Amino acid sequence: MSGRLSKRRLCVAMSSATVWALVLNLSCRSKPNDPEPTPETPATSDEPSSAVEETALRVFGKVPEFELTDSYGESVDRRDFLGNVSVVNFFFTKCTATCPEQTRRLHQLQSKLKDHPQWRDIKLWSITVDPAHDTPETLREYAEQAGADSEHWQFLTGPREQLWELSGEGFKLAVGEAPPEAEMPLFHSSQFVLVDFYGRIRGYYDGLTDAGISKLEDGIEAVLAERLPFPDDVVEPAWMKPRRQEQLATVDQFDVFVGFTFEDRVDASGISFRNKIVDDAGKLWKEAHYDHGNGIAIADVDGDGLIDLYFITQAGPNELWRNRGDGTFEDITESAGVALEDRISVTASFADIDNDSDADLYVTTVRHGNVLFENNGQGEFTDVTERSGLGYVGHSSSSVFFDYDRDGLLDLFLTNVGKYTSDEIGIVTMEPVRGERDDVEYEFYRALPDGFAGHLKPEERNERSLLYRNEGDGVFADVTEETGLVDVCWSGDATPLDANADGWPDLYVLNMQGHDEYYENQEGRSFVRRSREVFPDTPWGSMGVKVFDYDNDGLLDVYITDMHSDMSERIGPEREKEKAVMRWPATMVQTGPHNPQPGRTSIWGNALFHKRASDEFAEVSDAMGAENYWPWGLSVGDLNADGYDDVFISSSMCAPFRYGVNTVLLNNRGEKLLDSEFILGVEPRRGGRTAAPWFELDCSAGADGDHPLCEERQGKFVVWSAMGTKASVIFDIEGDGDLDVVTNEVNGFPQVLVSNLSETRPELRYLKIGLVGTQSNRDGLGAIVKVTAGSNTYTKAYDGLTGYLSHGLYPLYFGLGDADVVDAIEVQWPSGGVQTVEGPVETNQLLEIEEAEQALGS
Amino acid sequence: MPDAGEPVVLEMTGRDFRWHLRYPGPDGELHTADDVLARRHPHVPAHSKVRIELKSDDFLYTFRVDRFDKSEMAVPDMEFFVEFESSEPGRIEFYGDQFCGYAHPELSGAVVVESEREFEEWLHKTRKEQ
Repeated sequence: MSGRLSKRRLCVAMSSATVWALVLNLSCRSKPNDPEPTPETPATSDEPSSAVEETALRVFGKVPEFELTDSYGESVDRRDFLGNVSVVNFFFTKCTATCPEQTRRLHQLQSKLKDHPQWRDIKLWSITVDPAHDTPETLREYAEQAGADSEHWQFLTGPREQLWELSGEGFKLAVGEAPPEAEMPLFHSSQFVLVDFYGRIRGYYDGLTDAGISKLEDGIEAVLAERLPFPDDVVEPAWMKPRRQEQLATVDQFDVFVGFTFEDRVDASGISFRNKIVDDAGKLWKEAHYDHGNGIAIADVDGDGLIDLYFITQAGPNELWRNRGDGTFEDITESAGVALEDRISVTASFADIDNDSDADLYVTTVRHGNVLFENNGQGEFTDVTERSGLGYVGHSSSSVFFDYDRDGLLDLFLTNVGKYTSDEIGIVTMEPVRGERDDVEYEFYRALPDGFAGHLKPEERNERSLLYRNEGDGVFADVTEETGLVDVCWSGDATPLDANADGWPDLYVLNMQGHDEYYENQEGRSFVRRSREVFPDTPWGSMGVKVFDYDNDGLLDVYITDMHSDMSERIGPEREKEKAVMRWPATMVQTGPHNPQPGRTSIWGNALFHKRASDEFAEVSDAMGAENYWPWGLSVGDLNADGYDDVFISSSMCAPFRYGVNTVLLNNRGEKLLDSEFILGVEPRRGGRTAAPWFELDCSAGADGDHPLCEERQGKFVVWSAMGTKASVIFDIEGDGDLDVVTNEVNGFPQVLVSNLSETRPELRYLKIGLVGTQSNRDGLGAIVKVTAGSNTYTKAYDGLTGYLSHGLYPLYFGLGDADVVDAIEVQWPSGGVQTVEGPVETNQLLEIEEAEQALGS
Repeated sequence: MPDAGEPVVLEMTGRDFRWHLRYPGPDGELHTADDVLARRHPHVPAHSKVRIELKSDDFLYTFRVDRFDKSEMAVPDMEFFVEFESSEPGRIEFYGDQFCGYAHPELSGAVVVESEREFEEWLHKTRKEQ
């Protein structure tokens, strides 16, 4: 089957997708930037095409994967082509044949294009074929002499084998050693190659003639015109620059250290993973839960002491990347055996389910069956799903491992969202248009047209979350009914939370379409719902949660991000710090059996519950500045190592909505959370990008002609969407003592945001603590750790929750401000024991604390 | 293009910086056992419609005929073609890639236009010699 919707069905889908329709209508009405129809692209295989079609822009294939170095020593790979229109040539600096003319003509081209309204998107790449001589330094000198604008015209070098392979096999341009009678020792092509936004080769042009350059210029215009921004202003939103300026002007409001920045080093990291989405979250977007994306799980999978990354994607293989410790990673997915390419995955958790000192892995999917992998300690995994009983098939989301009965074995609370898919099978078409994998077909269950309204049909659509007790021996038992933890809310995640401080982990369950739920643990025997007693009002559209002590008063607070409330209306950039105005009717939002009394409403935005006493929280989100626009979830870590945990909120929805910045909130000594994403270099993203190519649209009859975006349009387009981060995780990637951030981007490449704090603040003081449970579970998941340094005590819960939908294993990171030494550490183990490590403890180290025998019963 | 009947079809495949020519044999089909194979300079009959199908086994090659202001390329895994009307007997020069550093002279050549009889003789002779 084609995976495309018929016109009739599309209309049905659209009529229920009010927001898409709203944005779409606006977009269709104001069409000042409609691109001209593009020339037809002739068939390239079945029927030979003729040069008669002078204006036709063919697709010659894709630029292959490569990794080279620019003249500044920076890594450049295929991703740097994506989202740009590129002109590529091959040359070498000692060449006196046609190379000087090629360079002269490229300079002319640069001069002509620099006033082009889309100059930002145009890049020139000159790639040497003589790396023995053409080092980055040589190229830099050459570039300067050539008058190259380094922002737009890069000179690349690398190993000769790779360069020649890229020329010969990648661009099909011959290169070689010339015979003795030749003019130069090397020969290469003098063609200029045109590459489009998707990294596809679209034309070859004679780089030495006016006619060739003229045709190249026409080609550049044609591929630029293929871009269809959706919505209109998504490529360069006018508000970004003023927003940045405004935030930079707030620096004097910070009492805490802000003299550091993050830089996206994904290229240098070696990570080539790319998240891929199903059509129902992209090209055929519906208001259903596929657009909630994927998480990212971390743990040291091979016992080398370094945190590794498991990226989850909807379509295609999940990928496990091993940390080499120097800021780079290697793909070990195949040897690990955890790709699950045939399933639409959602997210994953690492947890040691058998206490054998390695990180096992549980992966959730959309109706393709969840999978439990057992680690052999070397980062190689075996599917043990069948034996475990954890192969639930449904609309699963996060998996929360915690030891609710304190028997030393990690149990599992599996959140299930609700039935938002039909039985119709679709094929993912989002990916092949990017030229990456067109040799496979990924199947998914098509979303229901009214998937988002599923909570209004509880009998038909609700899907309960499940509590599994770890029985030992790799076997889990469904104890949902037995423990009374029967929860049917539309939940994507949950967190352990001991609100009554009795030592038994209670459970806070997020509801993305209604009030959250809170279940009190009755000493491991059962759970009692106490939602409205402890949390009378909660966000309506809860997506992310983190328990942490934001003001260092020793009590653990709860921060919840609310995504769905930002969906009911159009929130402009100027209103992002305010709660949403709920536009949906009460019949949509006042639902479910456990909601507040009539007259009370939900919180239409993020909540920050400040713990005051046992079972007593005050909602302080507005006073603390915790609101933001279109959040997914949050990662918490002490980014400036001052002792106060900071917040990274992964944000932005992607098409059909506008761009939303990732929010970084620096904790101003527990008094205020201050927006700092621009100050810290997290925004704007690398290259100032807010949008990316999303899918190709062929507005000809029989293709995508029925797509709403094809109304009043003809030709082929590349639709651009706002970029968006779904999940994030904070940890020290390269072991330099500061915390970095890695993201999982919707339909895109991760960001590897490396902090330079350890360089700009050499006096940095921190302590990392790894727990080794003996009576407790092996990693001490569920422990509460208090570190005292001088007059300050810092409290952290080790719950494994690292970001949106993301659970893993990691050392706790305590920023210590100026403290030179730690005086005491207290560990409240999940077994119930309390253990104290007396100081002085040296700072700036990873301290392993093993659960002591005497901790029991103390 | 004037109607000159069915075109003379031949295939030019770039490989290792040379043009490899292929004509259909007596069965009129390309890629059968009786194909006629040649190198570099294609022969065509005069006053005929000519269709040259361009392919490549390794790299991109260009094929430019200035007389007809036509330029096309041969690209691995793709098929393009040029068509023209041959007129009087003679030579129609064509040019291949102007590689930087070494021109690869065998990529340029001439289309040899000859009488129908001469063309058939050339085909016959070429087939016998291969």
